[in-house]
Amino acid sequence: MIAPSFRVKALALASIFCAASANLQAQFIDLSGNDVKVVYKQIDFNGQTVTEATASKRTGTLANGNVEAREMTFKTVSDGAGGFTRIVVQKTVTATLDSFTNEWSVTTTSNTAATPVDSQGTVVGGTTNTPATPTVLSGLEESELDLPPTTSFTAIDPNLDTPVVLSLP
Amino acid sequence: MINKFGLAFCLVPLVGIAGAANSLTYDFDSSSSGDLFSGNGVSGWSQDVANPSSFGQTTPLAYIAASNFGGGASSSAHVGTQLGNTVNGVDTTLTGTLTSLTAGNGTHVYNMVNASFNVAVLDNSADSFTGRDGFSVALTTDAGAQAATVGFSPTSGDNDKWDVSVGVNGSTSTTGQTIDANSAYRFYIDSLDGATNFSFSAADGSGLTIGLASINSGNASAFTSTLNQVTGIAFTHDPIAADGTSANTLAFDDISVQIPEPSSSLLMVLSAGLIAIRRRR
Repeated sequence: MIAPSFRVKALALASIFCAASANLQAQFIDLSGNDVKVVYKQIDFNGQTVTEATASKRTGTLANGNVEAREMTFKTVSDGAGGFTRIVVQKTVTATLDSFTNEWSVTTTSNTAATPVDSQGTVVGGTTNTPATPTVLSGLEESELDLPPTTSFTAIDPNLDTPVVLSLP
Repeated sequence: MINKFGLAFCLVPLVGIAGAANSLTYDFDSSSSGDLFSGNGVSGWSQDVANPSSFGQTTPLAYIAASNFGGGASSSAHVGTQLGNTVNGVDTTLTGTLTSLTAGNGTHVYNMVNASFNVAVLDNSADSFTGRDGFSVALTTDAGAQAATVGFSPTSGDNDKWDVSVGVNGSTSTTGQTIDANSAYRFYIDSLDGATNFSFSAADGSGLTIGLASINSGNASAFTSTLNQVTGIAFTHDPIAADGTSANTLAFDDISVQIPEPSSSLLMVLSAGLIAIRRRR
């Protein structure tokens, strides 16, 4: 008999590996719904100062004992030989609560896709995918989960409030 | 006694003033939600920085989306960090051209501007983006100078309010007034020669219109020459918060700018003089 916790992990890993494929790259986090902000920051990457874009989103809640946090980053770096490489990292962190022990297990997987591009960002070569070895941590407290921060948001109601404008006292 | 012909002679130029006012409005109703300001995507408007791109798509810094300022939902302009951000604190400015407003002699030289616009700062203080930014609205010249400015900066100690500042010639001073996030306001800038009045109200016209400041720079000041060269109205997002830590946006709509023609102003002065002469007799 397969333990429920193992089935959850297996399903999570299967979905992660599917999502890591190049064909599904655009759907890893859906940005078309305008509910995820893309955060741009300058970072140091092996001595290069580059702009990295990050988007992340969570599904599920801690309260119901299952959270999946997805995070993807995007940057273009010099390859040191006059060309450029676009690096896209997709990471999935799945936290599952064992209702018997009241402890969490966290599975982290990631894939790094490197694609040669020219200075305009046009793809000039094939993509190399490098999946990282999945890590599984068990027996964690909720405070130890260390999930990626989410960049999703709830859109402001377009029906704006009517203010009361008063003179200063 | 004033004869009827004389009275009519005096009043005709006055009536003509209203008709001769040169005005321009931007209501964005010809645009659709999702339209971008970059690449001249919104007629009459320009965006000074490019939208960043990643993950195979563009992240808009300024775009059209629906808002309801009190008269029903309609397309309105948005600029800010709701969907993305610049890096290193670079401003994003949208400029609506006012060059179609001429003083009647084919030039952009005038001594009087009346502008008004709906505006709201959109921010969810409960989300994970705790940073807050500044915004401003300015009547600008081709050279980038600000003739008159209304500024909004985060209120210290209250995450749902922004301080209102106003000023001329690129400098602003706080007014003591604040605006609430996600609330619809209408602001007014009325300049004549060296004097500029700033006021605001609820966008739906309810309640009072409150004066913010009256600034008199004098007819011979640099302000007068700057006012004479206004060719645009600029809405700017100023990223005060660290890169990526804010998700706030300035929404604006129903911009109205009026410039009475100098010839009409002269006629008004002439008419007032004629009335005074008739009364003395």
